[in-house]
Amino acid sequence: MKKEYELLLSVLKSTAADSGLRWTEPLSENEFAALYRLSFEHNVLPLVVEKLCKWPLFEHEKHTYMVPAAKRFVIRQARRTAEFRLFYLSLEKQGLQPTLMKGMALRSLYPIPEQRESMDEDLLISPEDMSRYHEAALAYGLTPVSPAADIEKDFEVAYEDKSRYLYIEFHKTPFSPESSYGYLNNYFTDACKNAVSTEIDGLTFRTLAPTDHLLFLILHIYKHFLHGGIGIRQIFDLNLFTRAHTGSIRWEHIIDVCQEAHISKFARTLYAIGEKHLGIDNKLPEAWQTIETDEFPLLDDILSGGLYGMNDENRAHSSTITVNAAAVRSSGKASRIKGILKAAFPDYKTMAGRYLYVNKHPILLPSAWCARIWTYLRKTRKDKTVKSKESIRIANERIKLMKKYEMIS
Amino acid sequence: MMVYQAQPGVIQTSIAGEYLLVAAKEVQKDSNNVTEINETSAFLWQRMKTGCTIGELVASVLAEYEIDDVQEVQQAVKSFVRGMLDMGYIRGVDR
Repeated sequence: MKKEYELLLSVLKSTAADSGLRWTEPLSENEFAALYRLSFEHNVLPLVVEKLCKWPLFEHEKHTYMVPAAKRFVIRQARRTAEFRLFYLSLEKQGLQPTLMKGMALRSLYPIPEQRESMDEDLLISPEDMSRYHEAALAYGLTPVSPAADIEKDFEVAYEDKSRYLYIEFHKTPFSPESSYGYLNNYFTDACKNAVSTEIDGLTFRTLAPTDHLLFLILHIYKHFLHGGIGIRQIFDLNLFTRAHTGSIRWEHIIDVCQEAHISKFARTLYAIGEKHLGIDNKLPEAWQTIETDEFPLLDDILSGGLYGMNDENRAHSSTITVNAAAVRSSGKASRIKGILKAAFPDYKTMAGRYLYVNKHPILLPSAWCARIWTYLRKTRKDKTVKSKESIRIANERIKLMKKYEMIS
Repeated sequence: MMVYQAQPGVIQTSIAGEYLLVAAKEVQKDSNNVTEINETSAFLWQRMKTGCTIGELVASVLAEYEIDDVQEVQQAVKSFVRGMLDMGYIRGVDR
């Protein structure tokens, strides 16, 4: 394993244990630089700086750039949290109680919550309340992120106010119903009804019930894996959450759903990473204890990919193929060519989400395909690192991973 | 009896040994939203999340830091509370 991977995992282990670093040898400048870069890619810089500054062998004067950079992250997050708390209270005053998914609920599991950055807050709501939330958001001074957002039809609608660092997503369902994993929403039909009250830093919020939340975290990680990869922070979140709520989880339900979604071994591997590399040994149910897995290939995929596996454009482009591979598993129709064609010519729903004019004028879909391919060709000509062959190579490697973890046959 | 409680739109956080109070726009409209504080102030802030009287704050500082000079702690706590009230970061509520 690369040295910077070991160092980063060691920092997370110390964070989970709320203890100091036990490194006995100083780091070279190259090692510092690699760790710093990796921390940025996985959005855990504040956690790394927090531990480094308390490490006896850290030479502060040589790395004066680190603390201000981490401080900026933390201030930004603290501001987002402060603003969100006021927004949530304003919703409550109007009788609205959205259900928190991830975000603040996960941040509270960290020793210093604002050291875990979230760009937005995801709120699950009842679809019939969407217009009330829309009016409340507008009255609060938020504006829809997409001018073409359709609050009746869209499964999620985002609002923002940049001056107040607010970016809120109201979700009618946790996942896009139009996507190949839209069927996962069936497991969350009662999620709002079953939501629980959770006290976070002196205020009470509605959050997903522990079993629903854990299931959502696992499936959310799965979704991101299909879309190019996952970051180590998501694995960290999952393991921290499980540790905090272990007595409240209905494991039989988690096991059943993972089995139906063909991700039992994948989910088991996420916990193997927690146990062997993050120092979080969650007591798993017996049915999962007997699943043998090799976590190293997945761990390497995670650490090389950045926060959402998007630190490389070729990897991002490969996601259409991996998403299609999962969909093919569901539909039973195998075709690698089909996957590549789908990557080059995404369907109407995918294109309408990205190109507003296709949304308004579906007949322009072929023009949008041409524009997309032209942009891609220009990019590959300009940036020698962006290559379609490389995207396909990455996709094939990731499909091998999916086979290894029995997500597809 | 007056209880002092942290405003929901202010967050106390820290990074690399520096303690900060960060306020929402509504709380601190016209100036910088970030205030650096010391460890003792951060400790007081944590107590004020659930609301405390001056007496309770003083008692918790004396216990936490094993200080003998009660008067000095009382002055320091009152000064901190006054400063936080002036900034609108805390509010006083009759218990």
